[in-house]
This record gives sequence, structure tokens and C-alpha cells, in this order.
Amino acid sequence: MRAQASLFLLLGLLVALAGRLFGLQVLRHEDMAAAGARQRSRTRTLVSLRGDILFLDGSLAARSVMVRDYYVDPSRVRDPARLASAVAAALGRDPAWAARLAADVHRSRSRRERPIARRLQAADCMAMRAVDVPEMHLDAAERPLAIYSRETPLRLYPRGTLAAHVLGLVRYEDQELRGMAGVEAARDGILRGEPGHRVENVDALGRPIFLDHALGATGRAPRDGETVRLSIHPEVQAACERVLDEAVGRWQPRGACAVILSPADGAILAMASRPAFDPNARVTLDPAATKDLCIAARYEPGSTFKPLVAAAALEAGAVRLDEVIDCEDGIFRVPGTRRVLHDHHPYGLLSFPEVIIKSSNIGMAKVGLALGDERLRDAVLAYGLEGRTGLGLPGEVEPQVTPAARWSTYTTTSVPMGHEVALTPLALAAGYAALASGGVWHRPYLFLPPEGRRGAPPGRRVLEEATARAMTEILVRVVEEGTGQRARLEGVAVAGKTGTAQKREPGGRYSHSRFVSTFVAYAPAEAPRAVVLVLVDEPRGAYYGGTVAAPAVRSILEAVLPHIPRCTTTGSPDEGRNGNGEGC
Amino acid sequence: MRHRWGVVLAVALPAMALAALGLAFIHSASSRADTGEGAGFAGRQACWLAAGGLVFAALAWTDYRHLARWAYAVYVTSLAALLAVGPLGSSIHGAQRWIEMGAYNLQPSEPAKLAVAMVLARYLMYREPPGRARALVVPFLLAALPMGLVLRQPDLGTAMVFVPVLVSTLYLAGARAAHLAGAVALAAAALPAVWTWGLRDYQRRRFLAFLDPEGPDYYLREGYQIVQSRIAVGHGGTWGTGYGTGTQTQWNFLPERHTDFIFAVLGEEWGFAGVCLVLLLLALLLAGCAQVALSTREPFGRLVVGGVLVLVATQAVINTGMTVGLMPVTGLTLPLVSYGGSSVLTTCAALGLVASVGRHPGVLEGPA
Repeated sequence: MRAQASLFLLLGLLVALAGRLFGLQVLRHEDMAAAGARQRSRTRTLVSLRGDILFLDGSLAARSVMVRDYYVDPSRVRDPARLASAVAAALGRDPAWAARLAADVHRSRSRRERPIARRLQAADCMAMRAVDVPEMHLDAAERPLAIYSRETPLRLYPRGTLAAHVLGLVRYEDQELRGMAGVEAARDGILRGEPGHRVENVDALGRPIFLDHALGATGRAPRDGETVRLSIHPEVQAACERVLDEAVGRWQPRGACAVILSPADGAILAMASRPAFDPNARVTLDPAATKDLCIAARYEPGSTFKPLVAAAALEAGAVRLDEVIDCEDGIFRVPGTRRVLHDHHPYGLLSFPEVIIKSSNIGMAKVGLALGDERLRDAVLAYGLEGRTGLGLPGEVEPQVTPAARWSTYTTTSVPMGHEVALTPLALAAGYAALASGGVWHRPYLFLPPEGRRGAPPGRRVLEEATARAMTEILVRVVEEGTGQRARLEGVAVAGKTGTAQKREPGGRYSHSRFVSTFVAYAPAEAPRAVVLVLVDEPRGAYYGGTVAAPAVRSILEAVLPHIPRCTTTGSPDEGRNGNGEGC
Repeated sequence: MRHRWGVVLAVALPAMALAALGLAFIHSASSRADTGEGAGFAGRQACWLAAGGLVFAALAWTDYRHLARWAYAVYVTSLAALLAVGPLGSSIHGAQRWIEMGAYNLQPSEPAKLAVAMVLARYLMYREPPGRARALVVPFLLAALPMGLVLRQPDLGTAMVFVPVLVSTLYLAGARAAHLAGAVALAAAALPAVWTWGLRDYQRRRFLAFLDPEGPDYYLREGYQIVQSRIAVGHGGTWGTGYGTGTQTQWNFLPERHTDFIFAVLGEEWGFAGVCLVLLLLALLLAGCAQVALSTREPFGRLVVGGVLVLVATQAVINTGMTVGLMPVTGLTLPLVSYGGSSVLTTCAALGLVASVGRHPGVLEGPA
């Protein structure tokens, strides 16, 4: 009996075991299998290649290549010095580099990963693969090599600093490149593509397992980024930057910038800002230098704003072309206010064109008063100053126009001479482009549409063609006989206007020592192909726009006009895509 | 005299089947092994099994009644071996359980289990059924001596195996159930004290990990083994992943897979069907032993076979129980299936003894 009892107890235990096994293997099989699958699969990111950025002529502005970063597992290095000298020999580095590497590996011997060489291109990778040290061999446990590499994208800007402010910058984020400024940031969604992934099977030590049966790896291939094409003309841009650099060398300003627009459709052919930076050398970058003064800075335009207001007054009939304006011998108390205006030079009676040619503040104030608050404000806003230009680059600032509620007689006399209004150099250039194109304002644009799509949207007429033409004639005289004579170009009629704006001091008063010198011009006057703006912020030695900025504009026009074809606006040989040649 | 080979086969056939299965899965568990000394476990296990077969045959051929006289000598020798672990022992996983003998490590706690079963049978064979509690003192001491030495190693799992062997042998010898129950109750009452003072830290942690293997304190340490084993068994499902294709086994997730956790390997690669086969073979083996015990009137044979049966059954239940998470992890092998020379030889010797008893059911005539 006792034996039977014992055996029944034993049988009971075996049945309990079988029950537990049934539970685990049959009832909870899915859970357990899933838990096993979780711990043996590893998701590896497959880096996508960022798209190219092309200039107008199809040449490369930015491109990505795959390079390799090499790492070592210091915990598995026996002899750091031997390893370091072998790697240094392979990569052609000097002994000091090897010594630093050896010290770092020795110091980090409790770590599992240290970089040993970054961004190696194909030839260096080959050399690395041939390094013959024990760390490059399979060990007894067949663990992965102690020296290994990972693919990583590298962004290259083949033309160096050229158009750096427009192109912008990238930074690394989870092995991928992300735009952080300029076009790189503005078109990040298009450029960056989509990283893929691969699900790998790994064993308990993390070594990948390659299988030929059902548990095979799965994943998704990366999708490379798409190409972005810019309206920037590389030769025009290069000429523009060269001249700008000369001006910066001559006047030692705080900053400077230049914009070249195609008046026919608002295409930005060049846009440059100083100080410059090299997007290839991200490490040594001065963040302040990445600010694009063309769009991220706002200036009171000063006298360069006068033609825009004058044209609107002419259009509205507030003045006639042959009207004579009393410029009060240089001192004018604005009626109904205590404000007294001064001119740089005292003038008596000036014709309306002469007011602009001689840049009389008093004359322009009277034009503004004749136009009236409402029409003046509408005219200003009509030049695209309701908001940003809509260019799409990050960091662009809005223009500042006094709101209607705070508009005063004071404002009415300030705005016509380019004060109490502040706008970006790009917005100012776009206003001149409207004069140059015969009265049609185009939203400036930088991005060419994808293949097969029509170009820039049609412009908006802000002036009658006759008005624009009359104003152009006046601006030609500015260059021929007025303040802009240093912009004169042999054989080409240049229309332009100087500006010398006092900067505002922090308290709101206008400075008598810090100026912004500007010159905006377009040429040839009878059929303009380019609008050129040069702005020099706080030049030293001189400050008149006619002295500082006009020669630079002249040099730019001289250099770039041959590059800008007479007829097409975006200059590409492909006729079909450039069906927007309204200027022809 | 009839030779009664049928009884021998009833023990030997399931044992051989279990050994063959074990060999196959040791091969599967170690053929891609990266455990340093790596493969070769299957080959060595084959040698051990061959040696074990010889031991089995020799003992089955011998008349066990002559062996009974040697029971005390065997017992004393195994005590001496256990004592030798102290000065001569080598340590694996922090516990000293092995004596290095040339290329091989002998684990004296394995033969000690059999020695205790033999000495208890020898002590109790010609006595009156131990009706009084006082009569239990000597058997308790006989079991407690080796048990204490094993505990000192420390090897709690193996030490615990002595308890059911002792209790069942006494029970079969006629001790009162009330006395045995009282002793077990006393031991249970002492558990809190044992927990506080008797256990080492890692032993307590192992038990806590058994209760909460996926808990943050244990998951990557004591609990890891439990979790991986459970995943392996569950991953197998009804029919298993197939021989040599278990990811838990082949990809190194399951530690100790060729020894203590061979049952999990089998569970993963052959599934519920495979483990049922093993349980069935174990049941057949134990049934063979039980048949011998029940058909033997001679007291030593009857008691020693009972002891061996309980020994094998206890190890099998604890080993499979820990594999599926029903018991805390201890270093106990699955008899005949797990890799390990000491275990294989001891089990074969024990089964050889059973076979010998089966072949010689009568009481020996003449002076003993």
C-alpha cells in the first residue's frame, strides 16, 4: 500500500509538470515566441542620402556622399600603441596623432566604443581594412571585429563659401543630416529623403545571424532625398561676392550684403551676405556669420525708398512730372507739427525729377503730404510690404510699416524719405524690380519649380507702365548727373538711387555716426535685365551711399550683365521650362 | 534459476532511449557553442554513457546481495570524497563541488546520493519497522552527514535531494507516517530561521528571482536563466522548431543548455511532443523500477530500489520543474539526459543496482 501511495504521488507530480508544459508550449506559445523574437531582433537604421542642391545652370551647390566612421572597442585592445601606429600608418597621419589615439584608447579601456577616425572616404577605408593588428581578426569566440566602421553621410559644398548664406547648414541628427539654416532647412523635407531600416537577427552576444530560412531579416530600403534647384546663377553670384568682398575690404563695415534680381519675374540670381562662412567647416563656424543680412536683417531704406513713393505719387496724380516744389532753402517746418526737416544741401525751387535726383528730403516730405496718409500707406504696402516676401527661407524678417492707427503727420513726412519704415534688402530690391519691369511687382523667388511645371506666378501691377518708365528716366539721371554718378557704366544706361540712412540708436534717436549706405540700380534702363542692390552696414571712412555702395553696384553690373541673357529670365537653355519670359 | 532479463530491459530500454535523446540534444546545444571549450560535449557524453553502460551491465550481472555488505564501505568512501572537496576541490560558478582528477572533474555529491540510498537500505533491512520516533534518529543522522557536507559546498539543490530519499526509504521501511509528517513539519517550521541564517545571499536571491524573474533586480542576473528557459520552452510550441533550429538554443540565449537546462533545449526544438516523450520515458523508467521494488521481497533490494526510484524521480521533477519555472533554479541535472560524467555514472550504477535486484528477487540462502 505504501509503495502504491508513493507512486501515485509521483504520478501526480508528472501530470502537474505536463500541465505546466501544456500551458507554456501550447496555450502561451505565441507570447513566448514573441518574447524570443523581440530579444533576437535588432533594428538597424539604413541612412538615406540627402538630395543635391543645384544652381541655375545645373552645377552642384551641395551634395552628399557616404563616408565611414571607424570605431574601436577599447576593452578588447591589447596594445593601444601598436594599434594606433598601424592605423596612423594606414591613414598617413603623423606620430603625434597616433600617440593621441593610443592615449585615448588606453584611457577608455573600460568603454565599448571610441571613434578612431571619422569621415573616411573610399581610399582611406581600403587602407583601414588592410590594417593588420589582432583587433582586426576574428577572435576565438568569433565575436565581431574590435575595429569596425559605420556608414555616415557627409555634406559637401563644392563651391565652398559661394552662396553659403542661401544654401545654409546641416547638422547630424540620429546619423541623418538635418537642415538647420538656409535652403537646407527650408527644403529639408524634400532633401532629406527617408531613412530605411533592416531588422536583423542577432544572437545573445549581439552578433548578427544570417539565415536562409523563415526567420530571415526584413526591413525597408532608404529613400534618398530629391534634388532642389535654385535660381541662383553661380557666375553672377561669384561676381557679386567678389565685388562685395572688395567693398568689405575697402570700408571695413559691420556687415554688407548684395542682391541681384531678375526684374522680369523676380528670380533671385544672386544673394550674398558678409561676414562669410564656409559650410564645409562646420566646426569652426561663427554662428553670427550665418545670418543672411539680405533677408534676416531689416533696415530703414533712407533715400532709396524715395523713388518708390514718388512713383506712387505720380501715379496717383498727387504730383505732376513737371511740378516745381519749393525746397525751402534746406529748412522746413512741417505744418501743424513742431518738426523741422533739413536737407544735406539747401535747395530752393526744384522740379519733381530734381527732388529725386538731388535727393531732397523736404521735397519728398511735401510729395508725401500731397499724397496723403491713406494713399501713401497703400502705396507702400503695394510694394509687397504687407508681410514677408514669401521666399521660404528660414530667418526672414517682416517689414515694419507704421500701422494705420499710429500713423501721424510725422509719419507722412518720414516715410517718403525712407524712415519710419524698415524692410529687408531683398524686399527693397523687389520694389525696384517693379520699377524696372514696367510696374509689375513680382514676389522674389529662389526655388525653381520641379521639371515640367510653370515658373514663377504672374506678378501684380502696382504702377502704370508710363509711370514706371518716367521714374526710370529720373533714376537714369540720378546716375548721370545726381548722387549716383559713381555707378555710371560705359555704354549702358543705369537707373539707380543712393541711400544714406542714419541708424537708430537704442534710445530711438537717429545716429550721427553710424550709417547704412545703400545703392539700388537696374540696367540697361531701356530693357532691364538685372536689379542690383548693395548695402554696406556701418562703413568706415565714408558713408554716402553714392560713395560706398554705388561703385560696388557698378562693378557688379559690369561683371554680371554679360552673364544674364537678354531675353530669358531664368537663363536656362531649356526653353520649355522657362515659358515665363514676360520681359521679352 | 530464471534470468529475468525482461526486468532488466524494462529499466534499460527507457534509460537508453533517454540517454540517446540526451546525447542528440547535447549535440544540438553545443554544436554551435561559443562557450570557450565549445563543442565536444556530445562526444564526451557518449564516452560517459559507454562507461555508464559498462557499469550498468557489471552491476546488473552481479548479485546485489553481495553488494549489500559493501554498503557501509561505499558510504564511508563517499563521505571521504565529500570531505576531500574542501582542500582539493575546484570551484565552478562560485561553489566548490568538484574534485579535479586529471582531465576530469569528479562531483562527489553525485555518488553520495546513491551511497545514502544504499546505506539507509542496509541499516533498515533486518530491523523491525521503526515504529518509535527514536528509531528514526540513526537513519536521519546517516542522511544528515553527507547532506551537511554537500550544503557546505554550498549546493543546496543536491542537498535537498537527500530529504525525499530519506523520507521515502523510512516510509517504505514501515515508519509511521505521523512521525515522518512531524519531522517534515519541524523542518518546515525551521525554514524562517534557515532563510535568515542558513542561506547565503545568492541562494536567497535565486529564490526571490524564481518568484519574480522579470523583476528589475533579477532580470539580467538570476532571473535571466529562468526567463530564457521559459521562452525556449514556450517557443517550441506543440511540435517544436525542429532539431538544431531553436533560436534560444542555437543563438546562445539559453545558458547552461547542455547540462542543467537540456530539457529546455528539447522543449524548444521538439516542442510539447518532445517533452511528453521524455516524461513518458521517465515514467516508463520509474515504472520499471517500481515493478522491481514491488516484486522483490528481500528487504535491502526493495528499499534500495525504492531509494533509487525516488532519487531519479526527485531529480527529474526538480530539473524539469525549474526549467518551466515551477521551482527555483538549482544545479540539478536531468538524469541520463543532461551532460555530466558524475551524474551519468551514478545514475547508471543506480539503475544497474535496480536491474540486479530485479534479476535476483529471492532472499539469499545460507550465511550472509
